[in-house]
Amino acid sequence: MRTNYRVNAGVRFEVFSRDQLEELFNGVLHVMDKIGLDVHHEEARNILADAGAHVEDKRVRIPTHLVKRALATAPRSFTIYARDGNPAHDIQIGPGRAHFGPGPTPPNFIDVETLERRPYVRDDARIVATVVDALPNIDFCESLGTISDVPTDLAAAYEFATMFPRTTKPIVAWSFGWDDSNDIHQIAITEAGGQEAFERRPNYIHYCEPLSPLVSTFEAVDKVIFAARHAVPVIFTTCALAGGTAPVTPAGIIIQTTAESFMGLVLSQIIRPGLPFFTGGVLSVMDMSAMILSYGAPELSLMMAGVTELAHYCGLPLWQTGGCTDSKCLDEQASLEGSLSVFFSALSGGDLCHDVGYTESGMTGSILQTVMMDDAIGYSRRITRGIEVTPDTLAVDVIRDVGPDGHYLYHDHTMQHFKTEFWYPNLCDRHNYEEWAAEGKQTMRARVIDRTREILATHNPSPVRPETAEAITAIMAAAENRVKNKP
Amino acid sequence: MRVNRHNYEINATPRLQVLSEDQIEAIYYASLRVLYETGVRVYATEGVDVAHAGGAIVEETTARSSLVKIPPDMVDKARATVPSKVVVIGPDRRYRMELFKNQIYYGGGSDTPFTLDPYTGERRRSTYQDVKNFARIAQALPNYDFHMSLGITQDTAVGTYDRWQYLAMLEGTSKPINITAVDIEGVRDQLEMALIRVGGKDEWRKGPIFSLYIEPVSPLSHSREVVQKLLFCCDNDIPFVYTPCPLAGATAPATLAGLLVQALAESLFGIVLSQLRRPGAQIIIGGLMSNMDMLSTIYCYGSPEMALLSAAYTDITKWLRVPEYETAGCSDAKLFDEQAAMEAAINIATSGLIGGNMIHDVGYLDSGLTSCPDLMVASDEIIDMVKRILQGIEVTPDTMALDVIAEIGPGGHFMEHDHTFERFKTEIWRPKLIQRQNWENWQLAGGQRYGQRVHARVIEILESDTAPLLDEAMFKEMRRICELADARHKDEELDVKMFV
Amino acid sequence: MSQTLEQITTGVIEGNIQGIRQLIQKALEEGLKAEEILQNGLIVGMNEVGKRFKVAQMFIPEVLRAAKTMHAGQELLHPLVTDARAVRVGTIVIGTVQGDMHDIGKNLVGMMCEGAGFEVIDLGFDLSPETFTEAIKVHQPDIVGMSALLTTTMRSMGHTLKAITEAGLREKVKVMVGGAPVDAEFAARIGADGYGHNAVVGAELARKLVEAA
Repeated sequence: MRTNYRVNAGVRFEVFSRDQLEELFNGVLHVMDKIGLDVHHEEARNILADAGAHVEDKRVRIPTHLVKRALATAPRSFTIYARDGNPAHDIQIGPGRAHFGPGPTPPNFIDVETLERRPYVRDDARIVATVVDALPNIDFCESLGTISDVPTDLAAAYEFATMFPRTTKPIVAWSFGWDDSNDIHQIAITEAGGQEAFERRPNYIHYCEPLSPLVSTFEAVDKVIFAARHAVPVIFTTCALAGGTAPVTPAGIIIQTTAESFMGLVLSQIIRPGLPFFTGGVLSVMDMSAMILSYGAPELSLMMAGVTELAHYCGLPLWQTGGCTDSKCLDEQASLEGSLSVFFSALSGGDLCHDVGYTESGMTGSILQTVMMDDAIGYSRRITRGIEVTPDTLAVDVIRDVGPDGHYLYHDHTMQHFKTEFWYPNLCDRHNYEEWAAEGKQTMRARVIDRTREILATHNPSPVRPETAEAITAIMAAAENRVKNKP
Repeated sequence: MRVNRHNYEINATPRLQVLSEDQIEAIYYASLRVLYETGVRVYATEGVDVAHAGGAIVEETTARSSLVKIPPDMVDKARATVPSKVVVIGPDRRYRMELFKNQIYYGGGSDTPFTLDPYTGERRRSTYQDVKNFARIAQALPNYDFHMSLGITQDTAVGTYDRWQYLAMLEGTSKPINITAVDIEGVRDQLEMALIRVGGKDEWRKGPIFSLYIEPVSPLSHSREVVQKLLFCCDNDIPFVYTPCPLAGATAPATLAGLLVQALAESLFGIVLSQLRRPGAQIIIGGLMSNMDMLSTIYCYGSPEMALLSAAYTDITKWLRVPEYETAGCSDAKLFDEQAAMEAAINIATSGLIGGNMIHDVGYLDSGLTSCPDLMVASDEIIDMVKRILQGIEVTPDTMALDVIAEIGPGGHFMEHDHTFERFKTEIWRPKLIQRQNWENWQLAGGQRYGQRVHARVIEILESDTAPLLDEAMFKEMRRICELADARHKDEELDVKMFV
Repeated sequence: MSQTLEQITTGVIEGNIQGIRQLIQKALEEGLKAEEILQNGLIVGMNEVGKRFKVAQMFIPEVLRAAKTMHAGQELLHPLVTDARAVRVGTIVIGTVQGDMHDIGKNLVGMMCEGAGFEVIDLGFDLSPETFTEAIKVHQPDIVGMSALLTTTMRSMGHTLKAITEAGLREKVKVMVGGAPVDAEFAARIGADGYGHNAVVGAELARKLVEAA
């Protein structure tokens, strides 16, 4: 046997050396300690001050030892559970595993029937959840829109209430504040069987978004406190624009956004040491002529890969970004931009990659884009899985059996391996020309639309428990009353 | 005082690795076993003789071929003289390829029977004009570093197509070309044409303007033409690509590692034979490695396995220190659509990350049967994007911008800061055909899909006036070589027009 | 229907080469006629395989294994049937033409034709026109199948057809061509009787050609 033998289980990809990562990490500590962030939440400032942070008006400076203590208590590996106990839909966060899902809150949606762009409505949440539940390479669910046809304050709660029964894949929820966070949480714990059961098997994640540069807004902080008090795994990340709300240089934006996340990290770990916490965000460039945050830029792929490595260096999971585009329609640009960012996200192993299905620079959600990217993710995962090298796969004896000028079509070795060694796409067409022509010369976008509609017509996600269904009705009715009675 | 850093490692670019060194060794030693225990079949006595004289064991000789077994020490000896760097320079000496570890160059593929007509969009047989068009497109695209014909000329004599094809390419581009040839007579004619183009033998020596594509047949079979071409290249200072096209599950083991073992054995035979013939002979190895799609039986050009195998093979060639012939920019789609964009984007990224040297087949569709001008233009932009990623992230006090962050402070903005102003043009990649306008402006501009903008660019290139690259006398002289070849081989053609 | 016949059908679909011989033996012992075993067992299985392949429920290695199983069954039944053509629909001579060493496509067609009930005589690759004409004389096939992967060697298909005609054999055989650069138009130009764009279609074409003859 061979000893001292090191294999690459999957491919290896890195943007930074260890020395560079240490340099960046020290940059983050410098920002936290010397520059500080503005925290627009008095209770949070008090909690931080009590723990040893320097508070001066709204400005909070976090000494290095506090950051390091938070890093020591935040876990690197944990599981988010499928609500119905289906282990295939669990998400196991840990080194070397990349997961994918859509993103939250664009105002518009591409109608699956008319293919027109229009405001996002409640039924779209049902559509997104159903399709997400069926796609083999999509691991978690977000809505791809903000519901416009319910009371504004309840958009997030309605979204969760609509999606939760339609997918057993964990949902990443967002909310406006404490009240709707609580609506969402009540639905989730009812299904889990109570708060204690939820703490053992958390079935959703909460997303909070502070501001760049270096502002922890009241709402974001309020939600992270809610999550920490209720043991909800939490994401606390910004969307930063290189050259707009962050330095134009990638190293600078990586340091700044990580510091922005770390404020939430420190706060959450003070309240509940050990709470699963995701750093990261959307790091991209501002297109200087279109004046938009580019969701298709190559810099997004590069900077996201870089910030992922920094998170992993710190021992934290990361909220990645990919599968998104600046294109306004389902076209080749949408495909190539989305595919590149998906691929780099898979390579870097960012733990939860969101925004799969964002189009028009985040202004329009498109489940069609998500469906198309499902194939790009499958494709990328086949590459990142790498090549297994064992005596069996090296196949020296098989090569001898077959010999020069022979073929492997009949060989048992081929029979044993062809299904697992090769990836089989759902949407990429591999017919030869004659067959493709005979079937009407379809483009991929036509196949994407067909497949999306077919999923919606045929897929039935596993339902929630009857008591959860009842609870959803009751919780939403109470929420309607609360909003109505609001002054 | 400011002290310089030391014991400090920098990734100047991102790094990708498929195989660990231990895994590469496992594959390499398995290949040596295949070469020695299974052997390769050689269909040319001159090749068998060279191998035998160098120490190979020759068995099972038939009227047409022998089984040749290569002991490991012959491989060691060949590896000692095989060059780690090969240079090919275009007739325009500014276009230069220095093929060695981690240097990347992109270019087309060659000899596809079909072309997607740029005006009708229909698939039809490739012609001389198509080959010239493809060369003109490659000339116009900044991220194309070398060229291959894409289509194969099928409106000229079939048995001497290669000379016409080379002429058509020389009409369109002055970048380095990887040619194909019917046989060594075809190579000789094209070499003569190249010497006219470059201005004589001495100029050729300073920088050969073409390399020759040579393809042994998998598994482990080296035909007469293949061996003769290899020996001719060794004798005539012609760099050549020795590239099998093993197909996992059909002409190679279904396991990717097994395919690599076999492909490497096939390439190593080329290295051994060439170095025996002339130590220092300029060989580039690698090739097209992929899987058979077990539902349609096509040779996959767009599969993730293709990208992964090419990348893994590049790891092996970097370890061997032999220049690599990579594959990317190709797809199994039948037209330039979202699938072509997806497959090309990911395989272009993989090949660039891994550092494969001569990355070919950019512009191939339909399992390598059809060339597509639109995919060429789109790939040019994809390569450009990927190169931005490949620049990596610089980590310096200036780029970390801690002082700038402090100065701007929470809630501020960076747009008007000098740090942004001085860098945004170099830090932020600018697209050409990709559009980022908002919805309203996109609608106002016609609401076009990317494919439509790409196509407009194709037509723009084809219809732009460019000065001829060949002067009239030179063109006539080269054309004469083609005509003489036609005349010599007139009797071999069919009575019927084969294609058009 | 007999349970054994159903097992034979399943045996073909599953590519159970070892099992199929025993099953056929068992069926014969049960008193089933060779024709019945063929029509209601083996062919039913192979038709199902064809259907499943077309809707991407079976992969080519599985199809080839089924074809091989089918062929093994046919060989066993061959001496027992009154009409030999019920078992062997015909004989096909196949090969890759002169100048071309690529034979994976040709191999696939050969295996599929065996599964379709043909006796397949595989001549190999890089074959001169004379090799084809000699083989026609010796084997008296119903069909000649030619394969090429290169545009240049497609020319050899034309030369071979011409040689077949000049040897006075053209009326005796149907000629089909295939290979990646080949298409229906080219097949027509050189005067072949048919073109198959993949191995499965090639085998179907072969059946059609003998049925039409």
